[in-house]
Amino acid sequence: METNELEAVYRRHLAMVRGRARRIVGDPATAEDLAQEAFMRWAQHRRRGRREDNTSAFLYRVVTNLALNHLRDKKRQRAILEENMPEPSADGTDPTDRPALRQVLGRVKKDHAEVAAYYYFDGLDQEEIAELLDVPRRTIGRRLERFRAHARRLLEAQPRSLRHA
Amino acid sequence: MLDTEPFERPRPTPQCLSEWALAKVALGTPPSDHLAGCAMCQKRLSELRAETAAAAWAPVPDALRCAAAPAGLMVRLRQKLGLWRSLAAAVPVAAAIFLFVRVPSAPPSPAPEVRPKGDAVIEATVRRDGAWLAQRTPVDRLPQLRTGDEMRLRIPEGRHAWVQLESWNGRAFENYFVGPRPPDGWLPVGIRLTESGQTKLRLRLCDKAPSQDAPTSRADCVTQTFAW
Repeated sequence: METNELEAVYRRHLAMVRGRARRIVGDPATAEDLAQEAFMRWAQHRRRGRREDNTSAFLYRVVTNLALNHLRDKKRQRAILEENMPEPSADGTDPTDRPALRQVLGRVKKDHAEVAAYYYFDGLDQEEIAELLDVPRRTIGRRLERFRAHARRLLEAQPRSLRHA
Repeated sequence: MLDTEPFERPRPTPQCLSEWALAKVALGTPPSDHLAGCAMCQKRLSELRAETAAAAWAPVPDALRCAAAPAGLMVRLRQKLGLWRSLAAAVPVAAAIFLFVRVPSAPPSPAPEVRPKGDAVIEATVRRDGAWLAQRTPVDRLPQLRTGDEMRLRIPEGRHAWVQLESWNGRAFENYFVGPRPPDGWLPVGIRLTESGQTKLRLRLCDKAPSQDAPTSRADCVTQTFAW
């Protein structure tokens, strides 16, 4: 891979990748690490002689999966559980239910969590998610419904740990 | 459907663009008609463009450059990174290169061969058969290691800003990592103990990077050699 290409891809996509990780995990330092890891995965992908059709979409999906893996880590789940205070965003616009959403995402099936992360963190609609993941829209709808059902059960079962007053 | 959602969604109105759609516009995709008439989407797009512009001069991490470097032993070894995915969750690092070294046939010598006065305590995390054998443990207090153990080294925060890690190949020391101390202290090199024999690593820590014009004096660096 040309050094120029590496630098161009990194600098062009860094803000997007880092921002995506930040919205999912909440912690800026962790988001920075996950962003770097996402670029590493991209470099590895290229080293294996593969070329993605859409680099932005590739990085977006990779960092989403890395962030979800982070949320699924058991130790991390405990830490999220202890975060009982809403996290203010830099511009103060983040919903206050993000820690609860993170907790639920760490507990549901990964393909359901993936769809929910696009839907709730970045506001993608079902058509956008279907296009990004190359999965039928109906499948996205089903996964979202299952996620909602699972989330409601978790929220009802553990209101103190998952909800914010 | 919004009233049945268990969590809030970030779109101010259903017509507003998603973060992904806005990110694509910030990266050059032609904007949609909605964008021209929506102050909220325009505001968010301006923020994304500013963030993208700010990253235009971001330095590319050395670990990433290494990952993209020409093929060779390093590449083959780095593909073992997958073994460290669980560690990455607890100890995020940008890259890992596996260095195959030898495990002792005799009991390990826990103390470094050379430990100058005032040197740094080097920490290690070791995984055996998928479970943690040691986590952030000073290297000279590690339990006995054996074939298959995987280890990562960490330089705790201190005065040392520059690191060189070498491995003994039986004839000479080979460079495996040279550069600034990573911000989190974890060296982007994984060590896997693969066969019987002696393992020897040499670690050099300096206050700053040596240069040809002004070579770093001995007083500015400490060198430790670890043998197992």
